[in-house]
Amino acid sequence: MIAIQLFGLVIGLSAVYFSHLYYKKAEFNKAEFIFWLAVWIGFIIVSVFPQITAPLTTYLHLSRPMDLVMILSFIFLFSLSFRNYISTKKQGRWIEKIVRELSMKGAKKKFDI
Amino acid sequence: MTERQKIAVVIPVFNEEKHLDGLIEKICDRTDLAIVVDDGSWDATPTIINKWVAASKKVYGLRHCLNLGKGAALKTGCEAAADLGADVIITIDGDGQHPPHLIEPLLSYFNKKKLDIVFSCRQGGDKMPLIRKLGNKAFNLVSHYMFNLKVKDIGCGLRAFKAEHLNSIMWNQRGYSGEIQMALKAAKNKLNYGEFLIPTIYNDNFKGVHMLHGLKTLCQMLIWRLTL
Repeated sequence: MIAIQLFGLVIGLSAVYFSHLYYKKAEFNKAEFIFWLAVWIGFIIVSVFPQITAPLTTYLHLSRPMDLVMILSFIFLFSLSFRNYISTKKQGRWIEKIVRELSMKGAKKKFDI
Repeated sequence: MTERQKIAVVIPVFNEEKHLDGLIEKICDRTDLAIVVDDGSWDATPTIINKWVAASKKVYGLRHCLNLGKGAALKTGCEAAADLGADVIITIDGDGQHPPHLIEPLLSYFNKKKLDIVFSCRQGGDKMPLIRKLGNKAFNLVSHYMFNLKVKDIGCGLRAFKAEHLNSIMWNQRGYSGEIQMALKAAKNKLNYGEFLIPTIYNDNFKGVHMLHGLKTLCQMLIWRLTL
């Protein structure tokens, strides 16, 4: 086994451990845990046995399994960035709404007195 | 006989313990209502506001428990002013950039010209840092050519407007760009606007709009051209 495969295996196993930990801490629900478990098990399998992607890389006219991993990673990262952008924006709006409502509420009390 | 206008001054503040005491005192002498919005300060600003709220019926204190930005603080203050029945809302910076004695001439100019909104314009000179002068120039050019808003200092925070127009100029930006958005919406809604000259005073070079904010706001102005 070459060093990069070993590195992939260690990263994958650590991620499986953390996914399990977050599930036990109730930060992930069952569906999220299963999704991330599947992602990381897939990652480990591809890291250790890259040749299993050969049919797919041939079909997609890619020269190496690594190219497939890179393309999938970019797709995943772009969609994750988009999701994070939407969610941060939404959270910003909620925080603004709560902070402004609280300030008005506090003032109303003082004003009534 | 016309009824006397109810004037509210909105002061958004963030860590302004140095200037706030004197500022509120001078504003109270000149207005019906001073609404001080503390935007999550961690210095003595909230204590000063509380002191004034207890001491004067004219002072109304609002506090954001988190620092949201000047645009959000202005929004909170202006909405409160409208709720309290103000006819004219004046916005003034809390850092002492705008001397309170300018309130009377600003108001008389506003009333004399029968304006919906008046923007103040700093007279520039050597007191304004070069980078801010250039940034201001860029904002003014974009607002002139893309929004047909002919003002010389779109970023200046001293303004007066009729409370009835608050909804039509309401901004959704939390930061400094809220003021720019407000001005552009006033132009878009064809409000009758004017400009009032004021002296340039800089008390704190580390506050206010910086290069990154400026670039971000310029990009936003281009987007607003399509969306406002």
